[in-house]
Amino acid sequence: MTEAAAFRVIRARARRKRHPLRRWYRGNERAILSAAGIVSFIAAWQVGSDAGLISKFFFSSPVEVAAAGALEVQKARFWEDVKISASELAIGSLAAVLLAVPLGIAIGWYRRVSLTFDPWLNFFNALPRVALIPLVVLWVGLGFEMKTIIVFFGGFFSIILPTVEGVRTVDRQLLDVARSFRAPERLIFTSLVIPGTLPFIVSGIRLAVGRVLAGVIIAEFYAQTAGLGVMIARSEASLQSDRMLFGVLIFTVLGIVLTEAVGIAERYLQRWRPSLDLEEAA
Amino acid sequence: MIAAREAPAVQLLGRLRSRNERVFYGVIGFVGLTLAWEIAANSGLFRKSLLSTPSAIWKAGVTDIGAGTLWPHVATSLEEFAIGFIVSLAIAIPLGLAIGWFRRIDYLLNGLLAALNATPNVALIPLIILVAGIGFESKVIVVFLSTFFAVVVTTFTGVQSIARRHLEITRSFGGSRWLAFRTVALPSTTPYILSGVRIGAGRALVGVVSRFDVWRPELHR
Amino acid sequence: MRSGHLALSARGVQMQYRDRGTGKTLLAIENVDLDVPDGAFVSLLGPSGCGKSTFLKIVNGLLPATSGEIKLHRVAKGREDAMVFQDAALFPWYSVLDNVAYGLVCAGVTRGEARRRAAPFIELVGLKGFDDKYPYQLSGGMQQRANLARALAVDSAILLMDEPFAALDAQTRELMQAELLRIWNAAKKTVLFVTHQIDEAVYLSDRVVVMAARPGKVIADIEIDLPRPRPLSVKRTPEFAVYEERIWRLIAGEYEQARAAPDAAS
Ligand SMILES: Nc1ncnc2c1ncn2[C@@H]1O[C@H](COP(=O)(O)OP(=O)(O)O)[C@@H](O)[C@H]1O
Ligand SMILES: [Mg+2]
Repeated sequence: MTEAAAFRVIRARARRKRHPLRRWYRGNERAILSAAGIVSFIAAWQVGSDAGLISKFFFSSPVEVAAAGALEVQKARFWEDVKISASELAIGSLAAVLLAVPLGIAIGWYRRVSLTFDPWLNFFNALPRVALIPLVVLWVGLGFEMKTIIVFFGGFFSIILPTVEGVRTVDRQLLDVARSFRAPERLIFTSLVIPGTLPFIVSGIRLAVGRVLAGVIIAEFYAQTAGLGVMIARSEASLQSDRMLFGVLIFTVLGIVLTEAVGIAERYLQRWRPSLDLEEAA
Repeated sequence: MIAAREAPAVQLLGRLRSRNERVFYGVIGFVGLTLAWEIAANSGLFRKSLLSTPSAIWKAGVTDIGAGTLWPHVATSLEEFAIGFIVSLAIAIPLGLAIGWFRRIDYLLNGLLAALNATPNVALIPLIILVAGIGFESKVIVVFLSTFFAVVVTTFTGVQSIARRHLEITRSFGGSRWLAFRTVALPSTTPYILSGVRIGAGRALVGVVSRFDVWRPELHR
Repeated sequence: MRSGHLALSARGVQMQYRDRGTGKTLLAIENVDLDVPDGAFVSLLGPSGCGKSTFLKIVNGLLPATSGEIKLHRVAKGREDAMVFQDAALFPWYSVLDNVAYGLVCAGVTRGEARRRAAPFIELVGLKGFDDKYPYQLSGGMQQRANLARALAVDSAILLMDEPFAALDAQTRELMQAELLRIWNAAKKTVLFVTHQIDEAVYLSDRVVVMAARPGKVIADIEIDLPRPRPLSVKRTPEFAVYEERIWRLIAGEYEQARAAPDAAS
């Protein structure tokens, strides 16, 4: 019998010499394919609308959107709108974080606070935020304050609920360790509760990004006074789909940037967690 | 003991509280909120036409259900919901599975999906109204959008969370990748898909009920 | 009883892992030679991280080695080798019967036929009557029996076992060791058994191959000349203690060396 028939042979992976271009592709495959995906989407949109397959009236085209944008950024009115939306967003979000985090920790830590606040939280969270708008309008009118408050609500509930959850799921075993060493409450808080809750807070903030952006738009649609939401709405009214899509694109970019920023913060705060992406390769 | 000298009512309250603290504080919270709302609305501080009261809502609900005027609206909403929801699931679940299972499909689509996902749905309302009006179709589109990303993202997460060891078993016994998909990926992803469907349903309900309330065309046409 | 040929023969097997992110490489095992005669029970013994699992995965085809070669004696039908994993190795969504039948399903057998052929192995490992139970309803020891039955059911010539009893409590582990010898005797298999426990390796094996870490390599190959069948009481005999002592010295010596030269070890 020959050896080939008698044995199944498992050989080492041959180290093939690959073309440098191919090696470059393998090393950057993710970035290359992502870019390819976006580029072909934009190209298909442009070609489709030039060929008349996609209605220019409704969906415009990438070139037209870019042109509308170039025109827009030269207007003082546009920068006025940007300033207003940005202030609403900044103030509302900041207030949401500053209030939701301490309150969430208190609710999570003190049983009685929690039992009293829980139904309220659940109620307001279940309530569609647009239903709050008329109430807020009654309270402060249609101006800047109302829009900022709507932004605040969007962020506040997205952050406070995970924060409460985070405090409640602090590792019981570590808590026992701390207590058995007679750690004072303060130390338990700073060494255990806060670090254990941080990932939850950050994931709440990640959720809040979408909500505060939606809050600005909803409030501005409703109030129709000023801001980027109004610019979008006015473009729709005057059937300028290119200008409208330029406005939408601003929120897309803002959403990506903010989410990415939260992601960076998240990776930094979680740096003590072992990374799981060891690859089997040689 | 001090407690022994307290009035019977206080004692009873105390016993109730210690017996079932959760329910006790919960009821207090809910009743308190409802009462505060009723009082605020009746106080004359706000116009009645703008701020309804719990008692008025209750009465209106009872009347509507009795007169049968509510049902046609409910039926339309249900239809909008059902169509948008089912179409959304039919696309989102296979898409989530595909980007989870095939690395290259993930790479190709993740930029696009991230961009669409980062765009607040409400920002698209003007576009939807431009294309489909304020009727049936636009509500279906809103339901579709509200469900879509929740389901794609949870399904994708589900595929990514499959235990490596489980995939290794199929490979170890010489099973194909397609077999691994059917016997490992699908069963372990199912709980994630279901939770995505649940989250999506919640968002879609909010969408069908309220998304267009902020749109006030009379103000700018 | 034994046909005298080698069931497995490894030459110069080396494995280098590379971290995709940082590009750093790690030499997990270096130049491993190993011969396993047909029908033998051979253990790979070494501290955690010395590359035992890596070696088994290479034999099993789960990982391509970076260099070296392994020959497995061909069998007329079915696979040459089947793996018994350490833990979390049963599908929670399958019953015991479907889990045990899974290896056959992977080989292309229809589900009905696979179940029919799996049934006797459930009995062989002592799980009769548990066919319809789900993994969460089984104790750790019973789960490992099911795990073993799945590998037995594909009727391979070699069983690769990766610390199959490491997660069990001490009593259950001893019981399972004795059970394994009974099954090994009944099924007439070649076994390559990985463990970090000296007494387990000595009790089960015809030969114990001792490995050291960083990088993983073979430092000794010891014949265990204890008579079979081996009741658990063998573990209390002086001969057994001598083997344990000898292997312990080897491992401790390696450890001292590594401590004396920490730079060379990293
Ligand atoms: N997929 C992987 N990627 C990178 N390194 C790995 C991987 N698997 C194992 N290693 C490393 O290889 C060495 C040997 O691991 P392993 O074979 O699991 O050892 P053992 O089974 O003897 O405990 C260890 O240092 C381990 O960290
Ligand atoms: Mg191991």
